[in-house]
Amino acid sequence: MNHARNEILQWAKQGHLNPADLPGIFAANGITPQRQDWRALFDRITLWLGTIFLAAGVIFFVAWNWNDMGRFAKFALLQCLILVSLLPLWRFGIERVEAKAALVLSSLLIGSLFALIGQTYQTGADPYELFVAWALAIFPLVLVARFAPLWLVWLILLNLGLHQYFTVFSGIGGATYASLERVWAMFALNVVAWACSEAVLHKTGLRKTLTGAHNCSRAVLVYCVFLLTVAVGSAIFDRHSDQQGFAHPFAHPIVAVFVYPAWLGLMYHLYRQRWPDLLILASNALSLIVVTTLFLSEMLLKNSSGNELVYLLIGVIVLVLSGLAGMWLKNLARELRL
Amino acid sequence: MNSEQRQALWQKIQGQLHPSTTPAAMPEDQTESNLWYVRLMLGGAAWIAAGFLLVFAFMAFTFLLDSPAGAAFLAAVVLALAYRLFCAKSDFAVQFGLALSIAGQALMLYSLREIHSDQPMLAYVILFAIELCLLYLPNFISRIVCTCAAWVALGFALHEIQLNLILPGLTAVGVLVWSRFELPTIRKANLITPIGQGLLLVLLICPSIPHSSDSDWFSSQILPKQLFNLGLLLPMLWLIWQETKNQALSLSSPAGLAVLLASLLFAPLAWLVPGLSVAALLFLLGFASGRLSLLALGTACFAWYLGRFYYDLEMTLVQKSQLLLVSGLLLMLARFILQKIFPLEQKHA
Repeated sequence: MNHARNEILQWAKQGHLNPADLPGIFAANGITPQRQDWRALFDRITLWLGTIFLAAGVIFFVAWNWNDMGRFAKFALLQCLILVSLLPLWRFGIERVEAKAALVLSSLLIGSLFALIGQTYQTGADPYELFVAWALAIFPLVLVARFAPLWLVWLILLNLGLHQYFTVFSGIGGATYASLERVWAMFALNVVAWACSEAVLHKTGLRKTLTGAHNCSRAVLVYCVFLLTVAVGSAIFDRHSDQQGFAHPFAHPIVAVFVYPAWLGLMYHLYRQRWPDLLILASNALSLIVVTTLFLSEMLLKNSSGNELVYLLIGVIVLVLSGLAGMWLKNLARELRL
Repeated sequence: MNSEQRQALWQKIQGQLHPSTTPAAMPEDQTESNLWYVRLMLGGAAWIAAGFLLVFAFMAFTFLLDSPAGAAFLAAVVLALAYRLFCAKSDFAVQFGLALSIAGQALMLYSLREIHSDQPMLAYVILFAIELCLLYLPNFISRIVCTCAAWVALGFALHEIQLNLILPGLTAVGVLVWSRFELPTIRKANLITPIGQGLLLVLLICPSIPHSSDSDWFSSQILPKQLFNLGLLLPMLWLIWQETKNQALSLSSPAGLAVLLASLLFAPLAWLVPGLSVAALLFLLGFASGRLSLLALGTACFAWYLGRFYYDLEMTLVQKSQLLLVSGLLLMLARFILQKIFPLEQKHA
């Protein structure tokens, strides 16, 4: 519908359609919603907003840590809520949207149960253990739901757990390289998630239409591009040995020299040649521009930061690269008729 | 859309408009790429380049930038150059022009602050006027940047006279006006659409304007603080009412009463949770106009401001918890009642 809308607007801009006719054209072609579309939207909004508000309300209540309520009462209340939240599964069956909302609600409530455990018993557990335990506990629900946004929530929990892990443990490189290892670890995690989602999309044929599952996969991939850009940028600027002379492998520029071009080549092959997708190509183009800028800044400004022409040169190079990328993407869009 | 799909759409539209005449020939494909992520990539790169060009300008033209008048002169030259490059139409020239446009506006802001350092209100008003004039620069992304800059300057100017609480409402009204007149003015879309999108970007951050009673931005206001929330809530209610009229729904009919009741139930929640009105406005606007990007933006906005609500200091955690639980239950109840009174058609279920 978005493509049809854009096409009609282009014809109107070029004078082939009268602007006064546009509301009627949109209504007749299903671009603007009719009464039943609004009714369906209202149905979805009440269901999902209600689910999110109920989950948030319980989470806020647990966070409040009410002293007047005994710990066993709190646990009993939360566990009962989790069980009650699963009732729609029995009532409606797994394929209905009500069941999927119920699984989302119970997944969020399970998280608040783990938070309550940590709050009550003060076990001294690290924050990453909460997110990892939460992700493990809801994995069966996520599998059963077969609902892309819930997979995304599960992946976010794993990312948070990994992030918190490196806040506590510094990895093999010590505190100096903890942030760098964190980025590479999160990149690896999300690449695996993306690869699995692509495999499922390919096998089920969901790639052919822009469904929610496909968009979730694209969101994960764009995040992978972001993480890789940060990792390569860090490799460009970080010294590849610390004061004790330890040379961290991930901080060595050679990693960026091999991994980054290989990644760009893979993205080109998949999303230009096999499954054209301008969003992925645009995000990788921006990543390349950023990495090139960082590389030029490190190489040229290290010894001549007082020379103003260096800044002009870098600025012009960035403009040339972005101009080339823009031309390429626009030609591709025309070729794909987007 | 491929060419067959375009052809089919054109013929269908011609059949709807002129059923008794032969359809006109399909126009040639002059599709410009207006994909938001391509614009985002180009805009992001232009900002990076503008940063380096600004550093170059500050280092190479120190003799000019030492005086505010010199800085203003340099800014004018840079902006004139940007205009010239925009007229060239080559992709490289346009991208260079965009970076110069951003750098020129930054230089102009610097010079105005230096010239009117003891009269910031005057500086902001002049900046607002100049940014409106810079809308003449013929580039889509530049017009978005100019709109955002103009509106932010307006916000700072209003803050100087303790009236910045009206800015969110003004912005929301601006967005509604844009959406209302976007189609009738489609032939001027190159000017109107970026203004609307710039206002949308400003609207996204409006609920983040400090409005707690402890902040300077808020406590010195001469208008009641309720104006902040009202300014965001009323446009959303107006949009709901407008769409009710578009669907020819009488408020005395059962469906109309349901819409009225839903709005009355939602209004207090939107009042208490900053940002919810903005999210709802974007979402409803996106759905009403068939724009998926607005739908996605509204959803992201909702998630962001709900998370931010946790840290809001105007209410205690237990009050927030009670509010959310009651709202959640009422929403579920509303859905249940609606399914009994207005069941969905099968294809929409």
